[in-house]
Amino acid sequence: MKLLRLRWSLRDARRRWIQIVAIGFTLAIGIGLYAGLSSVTQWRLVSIDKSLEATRMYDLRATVSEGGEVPTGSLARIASEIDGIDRYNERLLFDTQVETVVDGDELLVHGRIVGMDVSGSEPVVNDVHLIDDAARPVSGSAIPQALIHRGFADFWDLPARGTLRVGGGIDVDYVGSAVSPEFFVILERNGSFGKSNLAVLFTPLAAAQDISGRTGAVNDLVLTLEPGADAAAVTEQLIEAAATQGGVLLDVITRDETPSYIGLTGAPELDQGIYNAISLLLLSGAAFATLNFAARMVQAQRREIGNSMAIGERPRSIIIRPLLVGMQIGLIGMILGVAVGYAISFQTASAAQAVFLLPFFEQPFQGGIYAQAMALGFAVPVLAVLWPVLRAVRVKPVDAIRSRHLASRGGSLGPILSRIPLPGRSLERMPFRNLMRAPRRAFLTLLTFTMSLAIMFAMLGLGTTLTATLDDGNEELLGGEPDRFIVQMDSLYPVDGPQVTNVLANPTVQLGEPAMVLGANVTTAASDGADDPLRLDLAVRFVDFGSTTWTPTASQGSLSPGSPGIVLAEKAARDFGVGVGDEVVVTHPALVGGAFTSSTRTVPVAAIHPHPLRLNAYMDLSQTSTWGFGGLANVVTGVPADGSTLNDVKRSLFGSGTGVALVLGLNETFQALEDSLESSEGVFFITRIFVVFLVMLIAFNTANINVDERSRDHATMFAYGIPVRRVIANLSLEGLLLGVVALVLGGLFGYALLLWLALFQMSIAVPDVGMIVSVRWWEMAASFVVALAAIALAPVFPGRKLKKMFIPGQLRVME
Amino acid sequence: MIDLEGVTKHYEVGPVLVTALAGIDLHVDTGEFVVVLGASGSGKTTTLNIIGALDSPSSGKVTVGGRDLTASSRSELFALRRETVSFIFQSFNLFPGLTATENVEFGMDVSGKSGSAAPADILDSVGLGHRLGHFPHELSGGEQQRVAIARALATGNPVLLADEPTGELDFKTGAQILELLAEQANQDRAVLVVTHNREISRMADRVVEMSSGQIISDGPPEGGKTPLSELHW
Repeated sequence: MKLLRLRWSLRDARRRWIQIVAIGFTLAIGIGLYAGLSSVTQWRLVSIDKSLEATRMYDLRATVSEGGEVPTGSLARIASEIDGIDRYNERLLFDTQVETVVDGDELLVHGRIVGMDVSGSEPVVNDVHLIDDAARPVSGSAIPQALIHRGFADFWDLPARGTLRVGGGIDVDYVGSAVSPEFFVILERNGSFGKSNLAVLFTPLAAAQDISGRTGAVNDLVLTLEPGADAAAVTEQLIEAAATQGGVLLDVITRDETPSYIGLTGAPELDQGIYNAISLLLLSGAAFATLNFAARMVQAQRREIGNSMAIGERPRSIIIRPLLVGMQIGLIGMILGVAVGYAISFQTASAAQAVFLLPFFEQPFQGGIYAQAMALGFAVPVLAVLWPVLRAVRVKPVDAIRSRHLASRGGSLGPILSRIPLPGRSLERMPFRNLMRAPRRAFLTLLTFTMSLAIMFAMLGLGTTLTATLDDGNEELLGGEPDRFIVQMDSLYPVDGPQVTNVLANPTVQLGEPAMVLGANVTTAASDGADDPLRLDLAVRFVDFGSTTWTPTASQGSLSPGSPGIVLAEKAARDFGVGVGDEVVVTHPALVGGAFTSSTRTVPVAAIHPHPLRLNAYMDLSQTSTWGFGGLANVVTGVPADGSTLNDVKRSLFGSGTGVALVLGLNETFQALEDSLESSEGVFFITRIFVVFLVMLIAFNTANINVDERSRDHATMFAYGIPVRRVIANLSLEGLLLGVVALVLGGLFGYALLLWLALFQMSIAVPDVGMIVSVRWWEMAASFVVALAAIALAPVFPGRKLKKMFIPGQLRVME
Repeated sequence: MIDLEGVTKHYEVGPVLVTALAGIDLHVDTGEFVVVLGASGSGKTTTLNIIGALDSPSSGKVTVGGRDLTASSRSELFALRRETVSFIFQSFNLFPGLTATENVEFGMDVSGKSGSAAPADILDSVGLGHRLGHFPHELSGGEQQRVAIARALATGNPVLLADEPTGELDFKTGAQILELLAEQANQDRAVLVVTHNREISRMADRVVEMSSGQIISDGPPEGGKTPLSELHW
């Protein structure tokens, strides 16, 4: 008997193989996306751990404050005297400009030279990992040698070896590319640099000293701690020893406080949150679709089930045949799911590798995740089949035999909906009536469409939101001048001093305005005394609120010259829970009698500005005097003079050697985010492709099963002379009705999903950026039209079946 | 109205060639109530399907309503079914999502005769004036068949083809259905009823008996046309 059931089931499979494969594929997309996306997170976590371990990222990094330096060996001596430090290395880091030619075009970007031990002769902290056949740079060569950061080299497709020119017109030979843990992801505190606009060069310490002209100097110490050592205690001892022995102030940060490390380790969690949401929705959509289709396939066998019951077959035997169909679907879902999972994971992994420049990218097969997804993929169709079969075997055989009548009733809601009067001719009413008489079935199909379209909406919206956030941020800072730039001075200078006036008077610069940017720790007045008040480190930029050249936009409140108030970013105001007129407590550096000190004051919120970066805050230039910095500037903003380009400005100012640390186009503010966004687009794209494919599969399955289920109705229509195209049109209309409702619901649900992803998920991982949720409606409309077209065209495929139908054979099927 | 000349129909079932019709000739005029009688496999339903353009003959000529079906295109055959012939099936084949009234409206809509008569009136004429808003599953078998007849009548088409219309009905209900069909012949329609029930054939104007794909007799019923009240089965 069991063998008969197996043969019978295989015969079913042969007859319905298109449906079974299509349903299996629907399921495969859901489980494949879940397994594939989750695998990548695991790959990344494993790879990050291995890469960090191999290159021995520091536990603590101590930097000499205010651009200062100390003689080589002095920081090492301090470290050697402190208990708990395992290894340490002195370095000299400084910023420069890097110039080269790419494809005949001049490339001038910001550079960072990391002078360190690159010999590989002994284990160092924060080691470089050489890529492919890169050589180790040696010191003492006529032209200084360096390793160039792999991200920059790959982005610009630089040759394996070559020569670059750095600030001061010095040529540097790069002998290969490398990565180092501090730069596994290019992410600075202000997000200004990405792999495309920051050229990191790793050179021997002596070469760095030569290039910078700081012979025998270092300014940085990286160290690892012995197991169990107290990082806070070591930090305290380092700062104290440097102050007492060398008379210098050290800024010490832990590995966990390093922006690139936060980005590196936080990103997988963020992505997994997004992946989980996407794959869970898709898996649910695919599961509902499978449930729907499998149930309908079994429903079609209810008369046979009734017959089996009538001749006394045991329910557990009856279940076997439909159950085997469920298992076949599950098996196909599992096999195809692995293929889909691998396609997704390799695409996602490749996007991840473009952003996370790890020396090792391990891709072990995630058996656990796949087993989980496959078990789910197998269970869903089996349960989907069991449900209607168990329903069928519970009813009286006579009712099971009358399956058509039972199916027609549509549960308790069907009869009510069926009585809603509809306008139009009977043929035009049919699609509506068909949906109304089987509301549960229609609802399940609607649910699957809705979920798929919601994901498509959210994916498109997320891309648009990120782009809009970047564009709006750039627009706000540029103020209509695409080449507006900021010159960062290497120290504080009087506004009428030579350093600042040189910049202002430079022939490549116009509309120059000196300003001041100071770091400040801000909290709310209300949270004073609270257990864990929100404290944010903001960059307060003092600008002339009366300037006609550029002032921040006040989305709330107003900018009054001379006002003592602070202008906060919308994101900061939201996080603090303050508005215009409220007060915040600002702890800031103060210059008292020529010495730096710290001061805390209560400042009213004068306005809110729309720039998405939370750390950007503004005060009127007049307020620098209240902080003790009156008449000083550490930045100058301006635009290139007529006839000059931004590169001219960079070259001219950086080469001037008069206190200029950095010249940066303000449109590069979000370069890190832009670079990572570019790499993520591949993931978004492939996800969208699979979603569209899922919608098509669901539409195809729906149409195919409708054609099977209603073969008698269609035969009757043909007998009455209704052309095949009209029947197909009716099926299309039925799909479209669901599609349009799904569009509305999917749009609403997708928007909610987008808000959750952009405002909640992103805010956990990138708390400094206030996402500007944005939707490009034409893009949405185009995608939705594609989805609707897929739904509308789906009945064309089973249309062949309709055309080839043997009408008399269908008409004579007996109840 | 209906002309069949030397019509054959063969089916290939695997390697076996099955002959369903072995060259039949048949002529039915307007106003005739013809019963095609025969055992299962005799070819009567195949004949009906060919007349209704649901199936095509292997050879021979079929003319319905002046149209040569063997020389008609696919779209012309669809048009014939909309404008000339109407079907009544043994298993009713009503649209489960449409009410009785809407099923009748369907007949009117497809033939382009909307507005020629009220669907309610047609349903009333078949004794279902009280069941207008009911769905098929809410009707008895006899009532469903009467809706099917009303749907066929609503087309206003001159040829009415009924395939075992009483097959699923009890005697009393079946008799009412046949009476309804007989009335249609009186309204200038050609009515062709296929059945295996010899008793039914007694109320026809003409009985065509088939066996093994051939017409073995064609003429008035044995013993003459009998009133419905005298039938037994």
